[in-house]
Amino acid sequence: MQKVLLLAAFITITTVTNAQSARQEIRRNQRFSASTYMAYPTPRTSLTPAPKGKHPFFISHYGRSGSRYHSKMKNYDTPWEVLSKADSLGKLTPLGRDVLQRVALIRQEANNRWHELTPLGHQQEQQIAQRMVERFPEVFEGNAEIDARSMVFLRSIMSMESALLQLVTLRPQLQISHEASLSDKSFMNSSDYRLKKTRNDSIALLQFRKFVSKHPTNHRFLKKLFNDMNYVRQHVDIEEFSDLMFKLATNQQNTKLSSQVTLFDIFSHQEIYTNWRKDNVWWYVNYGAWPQNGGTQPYTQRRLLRKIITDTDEFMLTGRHGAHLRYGDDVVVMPLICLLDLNGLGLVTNNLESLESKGWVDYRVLPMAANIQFVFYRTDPQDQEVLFKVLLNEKEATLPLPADRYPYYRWSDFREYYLKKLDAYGK
Amino acid sequence: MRMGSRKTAYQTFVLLIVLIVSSTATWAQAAFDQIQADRYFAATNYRLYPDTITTPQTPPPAGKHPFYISHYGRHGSRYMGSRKAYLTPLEILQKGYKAKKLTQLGLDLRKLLANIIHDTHGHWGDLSALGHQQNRDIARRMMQNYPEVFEGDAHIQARSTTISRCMLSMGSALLQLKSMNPQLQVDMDATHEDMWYLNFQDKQLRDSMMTRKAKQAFDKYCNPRKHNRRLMDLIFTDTAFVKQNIDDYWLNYYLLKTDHVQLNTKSYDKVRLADLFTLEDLYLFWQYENVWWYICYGPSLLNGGSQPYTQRHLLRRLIQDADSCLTLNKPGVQLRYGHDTIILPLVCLLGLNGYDFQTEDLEEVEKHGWWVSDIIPMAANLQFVFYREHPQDQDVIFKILLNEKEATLPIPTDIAPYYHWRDFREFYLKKLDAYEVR
Repeated sequence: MQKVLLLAAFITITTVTNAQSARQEIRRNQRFSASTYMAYPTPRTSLTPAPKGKHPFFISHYGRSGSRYHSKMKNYDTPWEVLSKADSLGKLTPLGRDVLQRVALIRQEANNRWHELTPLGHQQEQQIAQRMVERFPEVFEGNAEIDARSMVFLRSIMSMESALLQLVTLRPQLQISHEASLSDKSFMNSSDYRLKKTRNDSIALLQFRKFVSKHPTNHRFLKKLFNDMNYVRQHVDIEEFSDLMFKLATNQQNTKLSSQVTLFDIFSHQEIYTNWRKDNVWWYVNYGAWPQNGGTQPYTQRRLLRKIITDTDEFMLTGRHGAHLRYGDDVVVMPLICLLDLNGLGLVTNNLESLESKGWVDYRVLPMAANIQFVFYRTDPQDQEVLFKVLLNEKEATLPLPADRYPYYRWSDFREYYLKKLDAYGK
Repeated sequence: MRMGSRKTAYQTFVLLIVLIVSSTATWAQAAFDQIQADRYFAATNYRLYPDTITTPQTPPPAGKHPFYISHYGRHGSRYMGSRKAYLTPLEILQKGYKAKKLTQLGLDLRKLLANIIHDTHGHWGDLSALGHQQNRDIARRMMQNYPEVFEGDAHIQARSTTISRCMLSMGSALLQLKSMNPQLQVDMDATHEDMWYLNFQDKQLRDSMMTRKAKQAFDKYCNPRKHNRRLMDLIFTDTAFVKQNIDDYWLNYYLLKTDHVQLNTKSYDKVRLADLFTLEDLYLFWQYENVWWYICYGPSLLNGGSQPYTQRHLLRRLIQDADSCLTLNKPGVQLRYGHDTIILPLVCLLGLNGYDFQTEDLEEVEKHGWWVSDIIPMAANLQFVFYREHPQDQDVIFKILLNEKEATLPIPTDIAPYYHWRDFREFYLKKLDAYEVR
């Protein structure tokens, strides 16, 4: 009875969250409009107790790197140059001149740190690792085996190292190995030439552009910054400038200056919402199961999923306890989530207008430091019924599997379902 | 299946060459003695970190306690940096294979190289398991030797170049320290923002390493040493073919490099090429490698003698960092992770252990004890260990460790191997100023 109540409560909460439209959410908190630049939200939900008689013994984790600066100098230089030049010609409003100063500060902080973790990024990784230990202490007991791998990217490696330092602080006896090697590329960051080619083929691009032009942002903010719109039309690449200014605004929450400098005030709610929608659709088109480009983009991560399965099988046989920690990129996590159909995110729809109402909302899925954790339970190494749950950003998530023990699933069900799914694609 | 055939190939290989190679050492030089004692002394910058050698630490003058360590270390053992480096010797052998000019040993060697290429695929430039361990061990000894510096919530600042093997070396060292004292406050970063001093590439100086004069001297030194006819006779059946088609210098060079790196990646038990080479081969290889490093990163007069100044920013930074740390009650430790091409010129700039020795005569380099293998093995490191009586002590002293052994500096001291920090500052800031106002 208690369980039923719990489940009912859970369903109510989920429904409430979904019922709040993305437009409302973003209006309430502009930071959501950052799409996948959103800073990792600390999870507040509590977890379901372990299945009776079983203990967690293994975690398989794949996470993207924590909060970071934009990856290119251009992201900072171009807005600054456009505003500086306009200022030198007297083309900025007082607000425009103020914004120029803010952009200068933002640019200065990021100087020489493009694509690197911000202090907040390090902190997120530490906290995620800390909660892992606190929530599943049995996994990290004694000389537990921690096998950590990272993509060969500075920010991924530093995310991994930050997490590991936190783990060893809490559990000094852990046996840790950590690698970042191109030899792991086939599963850590695999690329698929064929899928990449179809991702943005002409039909897909056309459809995406159609959506964008149907929902123009109108760039009203330009009138607030510049006093001469003729000058803007003649001398500013409006699309690029608007795009980069919005990206500066949204990524600001990840930086050291996040509480001192904002750029959100120059955009209207409508502009912010419209910009976000474009990003959300972009993510779906590129990494979701969009039928228009074949519906198979999530399969870019088929090798990763297979590797997770085989690694887990192998680890179980050792009779040990511990964790596999993998640190990679957003463009890996998103298709993996869709391939798993986690929380129904494997959504297949031709209607890009319907993404929000169907719950395909990127900031709920892929903030900075987004992570998937499979947590495995058994009574002892001989236990034939290994159960697991999957956490998306540390919250219990659903899978398209028999759910009689939700949030727990049988590992045998998982293996069967997904190996069949992968095999079917291979054919 | 693969393993089985590899093993068989290897066994045949060993049998064949055991008979051929014999040691006929009659060299008197000390560097040769080193190689005789440890053939991997010849590996220069691929030499394993000599952590089996322990030297006693001189007690500090009465009343002085260690309170701050400033470190610059090279990443630990690694794989070769590119696929090409692994591929080159195979490609040379392939010419002989196609022309059917390989001996049985040449044929076996070809298979072994193919196995190595397979095993190392994607690992180019990676830190090896041994590399992780070296950094853990160095960190562990640092803490064991100077426990006062690491007490309680001591502050550890760690910085690395943005190269993965350096970041992982830093990570391994920090994990070791944290496992020994979880209370440590660690501030870790790897950013392009720090590259100006951690990995400074002085384009002007780097472009002028191999001047015409230097190249002439190097060729003159190298030419009588770089050929290995004996090795070619082992591998190929036809001397005339070798003469026309095979670059014996590069084949010898890359086979040696491959052998040396195998040791660093612990793949040595599976495939080793060491038996191909006599001690004389190793010695000749070491000699021209040694002078190459001397010319390119050492204080050689052949190119103006200024190469060590590529690390002027790093030295100035070390001084500034120390100055600001000396004002603190508990400064802790500053760890920096980088590369051989940084640490070698820095050692020469400091004139550590006489490595600032300058000559135009390359024959003098070895005789004078300028042996690169002692300076930049894998995980090479410099540690400045600072001592004082109390935070108000005006006479801060330090010693400097090269690969954890006490080293000498070209400045006077009454407390060797310790030096007064004020003497160091004065001497080196003057030296840097003199270079920069030239």
